[in-house]
Amino acid sequence: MQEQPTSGKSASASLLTDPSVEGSHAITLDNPDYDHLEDVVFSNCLDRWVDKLGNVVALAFMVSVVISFYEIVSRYLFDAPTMWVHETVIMICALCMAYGGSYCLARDSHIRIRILYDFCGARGKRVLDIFNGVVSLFYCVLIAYAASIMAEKSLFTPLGDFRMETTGSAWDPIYPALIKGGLFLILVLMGIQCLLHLLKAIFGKSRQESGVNDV
Amino acid sequence: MFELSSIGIEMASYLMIGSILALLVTGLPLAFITGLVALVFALGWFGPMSIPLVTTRIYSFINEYVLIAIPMFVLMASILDRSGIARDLYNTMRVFAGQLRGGVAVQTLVVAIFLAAMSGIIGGEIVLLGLLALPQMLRLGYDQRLSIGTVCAGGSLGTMVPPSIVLIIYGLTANVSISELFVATIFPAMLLGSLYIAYILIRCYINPSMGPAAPKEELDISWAVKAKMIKGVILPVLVAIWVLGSIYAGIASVTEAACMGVVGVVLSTWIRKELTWTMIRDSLRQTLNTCGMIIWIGIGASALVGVYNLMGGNRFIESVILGLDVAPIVVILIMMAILLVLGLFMDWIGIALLTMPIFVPIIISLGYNPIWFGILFSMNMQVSYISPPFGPAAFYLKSVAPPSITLKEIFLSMWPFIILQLIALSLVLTFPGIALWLPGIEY
Repeated sequence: MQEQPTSGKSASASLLTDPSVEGSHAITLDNPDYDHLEDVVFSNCLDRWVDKLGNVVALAFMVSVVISFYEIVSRYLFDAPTMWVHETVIMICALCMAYGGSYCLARDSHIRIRILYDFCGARGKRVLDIFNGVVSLFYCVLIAYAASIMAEKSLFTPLGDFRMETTGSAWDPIYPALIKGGLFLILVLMGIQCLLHLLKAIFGKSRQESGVNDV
Repeated sequence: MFELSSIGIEMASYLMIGSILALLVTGLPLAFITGLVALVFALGWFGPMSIPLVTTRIYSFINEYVLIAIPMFVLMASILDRSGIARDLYNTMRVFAGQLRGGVAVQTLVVAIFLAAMSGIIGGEIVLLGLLALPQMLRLGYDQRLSIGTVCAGGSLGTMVPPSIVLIIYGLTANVSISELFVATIFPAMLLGSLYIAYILIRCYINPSMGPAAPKEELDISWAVKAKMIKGVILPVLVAIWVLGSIYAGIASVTEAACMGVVGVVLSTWIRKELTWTMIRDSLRQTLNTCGMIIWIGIGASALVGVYNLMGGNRFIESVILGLDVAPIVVILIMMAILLVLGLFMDWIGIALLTMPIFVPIIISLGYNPIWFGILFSMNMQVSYISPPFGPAAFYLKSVAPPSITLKEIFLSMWPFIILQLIALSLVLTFPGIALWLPGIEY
């Protein structure tokens, strides 16, 4: 896995160290990219993959809009409410939004206060990066461990036999097991991302001040 | 194992707040801080057995039907922001400007309110107004600070006029009807908008050079052009009316209305021949990004509040506040002050999810209406958008404003509008009827 620019949109490796490319995507009326979706400098290959996968995952929002609309039409116009839409939409959106955490981690767009970070010199930035890397990794490991207990309970009986937890509704899908299992996998992914960020902070160059989500 | 519980709840509360603030300063994401503090305190206070309690809270937080309204409203706003609807709306609203002094600023506010009724997030609206209205006002020789303040204060209304993500989150945490919140917020939002407009008109009346009228030739737009622009905006406006109307009439749940909103906006852009794959893809990415931010702060905060309440934190704060032995209204004022201070440093999502589970039960036990308190909360958050040092509105505007306009200049432009927001807040505080009359709630 080489650190290659995978698309025209992500900055190439040589641009990584050039601060002049920041904000190179002007915000225009045709593309009001106010959260700077285009201006991201990814710190490693995994983050770029998370971002690319995000394009696919985000489609699921559209899917949930479409099936919700189908349910509204069939209920109000044809008086034939569905059994499956409600729970399916909850499951899709829950998993997508959870994936959003990993997506924001890859793009460094989680809300954080950068005032001290911006104030610090290169050395200070590095110390902060390492500190934040350690704490983030610790959090992800802790919460992934917590989620693994939850996922285990929803996937196995107390005796250790495999069975998937269901919602207990009339339709009774296996969604709780999917959400809990998915949440665990996403947290593991976030843990790996944090680990890579930490390694980068220790061994690599100081992270670029990308993004403008100051608050 | 170290028994954290031996330090007592009062000490633990200080320790929690202290560690959150200290970690915030280091630049750690808010979403991680709250969750981390929650887990550490759960482990230290109750031991490893408490871990499932934290995850159960997280699961029930994301497994909530009403929460789905958030990605849908965000998606609706994102598509809208990427279409030319805002531009056409702005041009159509030129009739408001006319020969009036300060007319373009008034026009900007009217457009801001219209946009707010279609969008529940703040970034897009400020950026669009910053691109559309700010250059126009500066070109006509409007006072720079008045123009900047108008754009930022007007753009922030998006989170108060329904559909509002702030009110959805409040409704979820306070466990009150979101539809009622949406109805209750109408008059207070109108009040705020009218105060802004009155302020602009008065300033420009006293000092005409602050907002000169547009040259006559610019106002003469041919009817053909007008008709074309009106045709372009009529559909999105109808979509907004339909979405909000179906919530008010009680026909659709908030989530269903949000879904209809997305379908309506996609249809509008398709009819306007603006619908492209790139636009949908970018809107979806935007939605994933925004929701990822909101949901993970929510996950952390709901875990933290769960652990804190289990430690007896809510009883502690209740006993402190009720033990003050002051008039109930003073309690409300104290809460407002706390929210204002928090608003200087923290994001509204974090504030809502951390403080409301503790404040709202106190409000109810004092005999106040939680719907009214929700409106007060969202008005309070209006201040946090434009107040230094972290007001997000300022940063969004900075990203599109001419380079000569500094962040300092933007924040300096805000204070008259902050005063207006505080006036509106105290009016709704003194006269709860402003909020509660429309939904027909006794007060």
